Amino acid sequence: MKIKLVLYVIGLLQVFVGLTMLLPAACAVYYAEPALRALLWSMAITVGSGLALALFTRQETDIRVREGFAIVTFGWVVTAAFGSLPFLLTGSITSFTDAYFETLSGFTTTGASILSDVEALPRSVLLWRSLTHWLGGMGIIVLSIAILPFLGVGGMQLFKAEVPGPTPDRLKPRISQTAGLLWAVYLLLTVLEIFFLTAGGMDLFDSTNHAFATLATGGFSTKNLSVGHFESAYIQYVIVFFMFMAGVNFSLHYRCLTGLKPVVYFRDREWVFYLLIIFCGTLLIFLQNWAAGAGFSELNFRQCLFQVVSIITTTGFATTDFDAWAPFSRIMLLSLMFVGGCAGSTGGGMKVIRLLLILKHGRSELRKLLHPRAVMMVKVSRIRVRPEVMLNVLSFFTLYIALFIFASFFMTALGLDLVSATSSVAAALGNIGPGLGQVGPMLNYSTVPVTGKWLLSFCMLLGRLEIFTVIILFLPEAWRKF
Amino acid sequence: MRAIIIGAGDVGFQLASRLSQQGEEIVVVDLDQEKVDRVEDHLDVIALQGSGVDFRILEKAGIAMSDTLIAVSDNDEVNILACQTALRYNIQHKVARVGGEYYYGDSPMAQRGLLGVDVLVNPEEACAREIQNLLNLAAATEVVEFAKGEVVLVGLKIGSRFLYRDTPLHRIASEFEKHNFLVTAISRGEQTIIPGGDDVIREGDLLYVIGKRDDTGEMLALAGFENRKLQRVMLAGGTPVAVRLAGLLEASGATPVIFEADRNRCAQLAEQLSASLVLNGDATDLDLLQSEGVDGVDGFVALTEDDENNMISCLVAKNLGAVKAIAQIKRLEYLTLATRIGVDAVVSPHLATVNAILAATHSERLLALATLRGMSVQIMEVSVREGLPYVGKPLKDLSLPPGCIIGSVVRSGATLIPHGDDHLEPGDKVVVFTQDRQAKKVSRYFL
Repeated sequence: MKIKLVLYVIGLLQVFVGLTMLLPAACAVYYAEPALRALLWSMAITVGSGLALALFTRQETDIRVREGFAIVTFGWVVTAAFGSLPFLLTGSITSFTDAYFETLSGFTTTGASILSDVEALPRSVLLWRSLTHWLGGMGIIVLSIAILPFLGVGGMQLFKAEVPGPTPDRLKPRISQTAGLLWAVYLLLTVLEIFFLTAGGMDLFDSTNHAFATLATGGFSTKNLSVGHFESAYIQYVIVFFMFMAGVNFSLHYRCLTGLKPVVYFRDREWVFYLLIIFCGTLLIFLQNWAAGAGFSELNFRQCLFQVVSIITTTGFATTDFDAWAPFSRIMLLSLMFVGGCAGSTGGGMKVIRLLLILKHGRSELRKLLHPRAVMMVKVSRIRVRPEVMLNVLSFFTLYIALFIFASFFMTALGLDLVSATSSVAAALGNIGPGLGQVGPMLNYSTVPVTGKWLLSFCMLLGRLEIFTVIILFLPEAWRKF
Repeated sequence: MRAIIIGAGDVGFQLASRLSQQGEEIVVVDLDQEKVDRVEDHLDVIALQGSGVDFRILEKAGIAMSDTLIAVSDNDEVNILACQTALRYNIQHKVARVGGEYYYGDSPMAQRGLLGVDVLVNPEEACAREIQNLLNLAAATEVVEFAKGEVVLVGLKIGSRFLYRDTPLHRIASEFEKHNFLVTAISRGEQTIIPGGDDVIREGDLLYVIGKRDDTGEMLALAGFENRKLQRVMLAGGTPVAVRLAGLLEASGATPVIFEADRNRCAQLAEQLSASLVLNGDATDLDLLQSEGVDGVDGFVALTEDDENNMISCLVAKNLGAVKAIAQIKRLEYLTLATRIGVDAVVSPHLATVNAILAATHSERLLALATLRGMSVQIMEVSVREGLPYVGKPLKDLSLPPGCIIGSVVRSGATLIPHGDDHLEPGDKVVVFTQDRQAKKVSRYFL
């Protein structure tokens, strides 16, 4: 493991992230908030430390696969540490555990919060909170690849380590171009959402923050009631639409935009399946809620749709206290936490494609019991799925469930009740944010014990980086001198 | 440049790697999924599995947006067909690796339009010539020609007889300049450096000196070597390269001896080569070599398709008394290894192909491109245009990118090895040496 190289790139990342703190600083200037000083200090410390680190470890060697994993994992860990400075220095959050939790929750686009009163925070700090979402959504590494030219070749290793999904698409021959295009689409959608939200009556500050959180499928809101604060149906439907879009493979968006052919979506089996799950989920929950007493109304429908899309895309916005729904609906939502968004989107979870592949594989195995001599190929969107990919997907699934189970054990050992324990882990691992019970949508994570917060932070990281990237660093082999 | 490379073997992989490092957009196509995976894992390119003559794969590779097609698969016909398929699109440069001799010379297929290929690359021919050069300069480990043969770059292994061992270059400079030689690179172990005044030449180094072809005798003398022309030559393996080489040797008056294990092939060789002695046997057969007088032989050239076989037979021949053993090596990873285990010189058809193609895909002002075995040094031959900032200024005042040396200048037919006071004029053909990493900067500077 070329440790110096890893430290060098991490140093550069800090400089980069530190500079992004300019945006909340500008916001503090605009609103004349005293938080400005703290923000400037945070920026100085982050950029300064990053520069110092980079200068001491300057390297010109190639980034290999293992350095890619280390850079992405530790890059995120370190970035979250420096990223908590704005919270700490402004006094918005006093405990380091809490600040780190909140920041990492931001970067990993989880959206789980330890704040009981979001609206009490200065606006610039809230903007930083949402900005961490926005940066983490498409990926700080991916952004760096698009911008820092020399990361070109090694950039490929980093890209694979950070971008979720079994086999990320390459839109263009050079990785820096692919990265740039993804960010361009991301930016476009963000701007569009800001526009439509402001048009619906939301003030610019709120729409910017919510757009950041929507496209990143994060879930931090500037309001204590989350999106439920905005009772306008228009606003809620706009957010549903953009959450949906954020959960789609961005390569599809790119292809649709460049060819101007919406049919591109329908040709993608994963997208169709995604749509199907949303449709079924919404229908079932709607029926259940109706049976439980909610009216057969547009309001009820809207709430179900919103919640289903919010959870499956792992955004985590809430328009109502879904923890008060019938158990069937709650377990549906809990299950959706495991499904996640499409591969190549900003959504978390296991990703729709993996679920699809596992189901197809299962079907193929069943049929082989009937026809032992048959040779069958699993195909998705008319492309054959290679055995190595299938195996990878199955191991991912196993590892994910295993982690869920062990972490849940741990959380119950810390004193949480069963529902809260399991849902908090599922919500962290899947980067959703709100869970059920103690950590429900109208509550927050402040009641979780300190150790629990650290465990959940670790789960958030694992989930965002799709487990393997992080776990591989636990192998002593990865660290051998060369 | 956006190029599609057909064939992800050694040559294709190298080309994709070099071109993408230079910043070009590359898509690689190969039939073998494993090769495709290898490319995808290591290079900043897109790799697709499929056949290069399948228009569907070419379209998937974005042929409509590409300007260059480089066909370097193992199969001549696939390469030619791929170029022909590309005729229907906007491809400006179509380069194909074509080895079969029946496509060249008097062949009706040799007319460019017929094959659909803009640049034909024939590695066997390049190899045969390189080997001939190596045989003509017995002490050289590498000979690269520029300016149509007027200027040569010679690789010399420094032994104990070198007069200027352990002396800094700036002290030897005047001696070298008197004879119009320039030390352009020093290869030590795995590293190759472009030397500055303070660098020292040590025993065991591989020195690369550039000079006029006519002065090569003096070059060798300065390095402590005699100049000998190798007359008695043995070739192992009756391959197409061997046939070409034997032809060149026969033409220069030598009598080559060829070992070929396959009897039928021997018959073909005997028919084609009238002045050569064709022997049916294996070149690793010690008894056969000794009975045919390998101890008195000047040059032993191993040309079978098997790299390992070639290396071993060279070592055997050297052990038994051959003066110079040259091996053909395909696997690029073996190139430096071979010289370190005792083979005197190494020739690589793959490297020759890569160089020829890199040169062909650059602008027309880049006349040739070569790389030394150490592979971190590139040698470019460029034609100087009017109006460029460096024209007319004395060389010592030019702010050349670091790690770059101007090796030689050919002006109206006369060759000169430049000194600091010389300047460049439009129409000059200049040989420039540069580190791989600086290549793009340097080529932008000069082109």
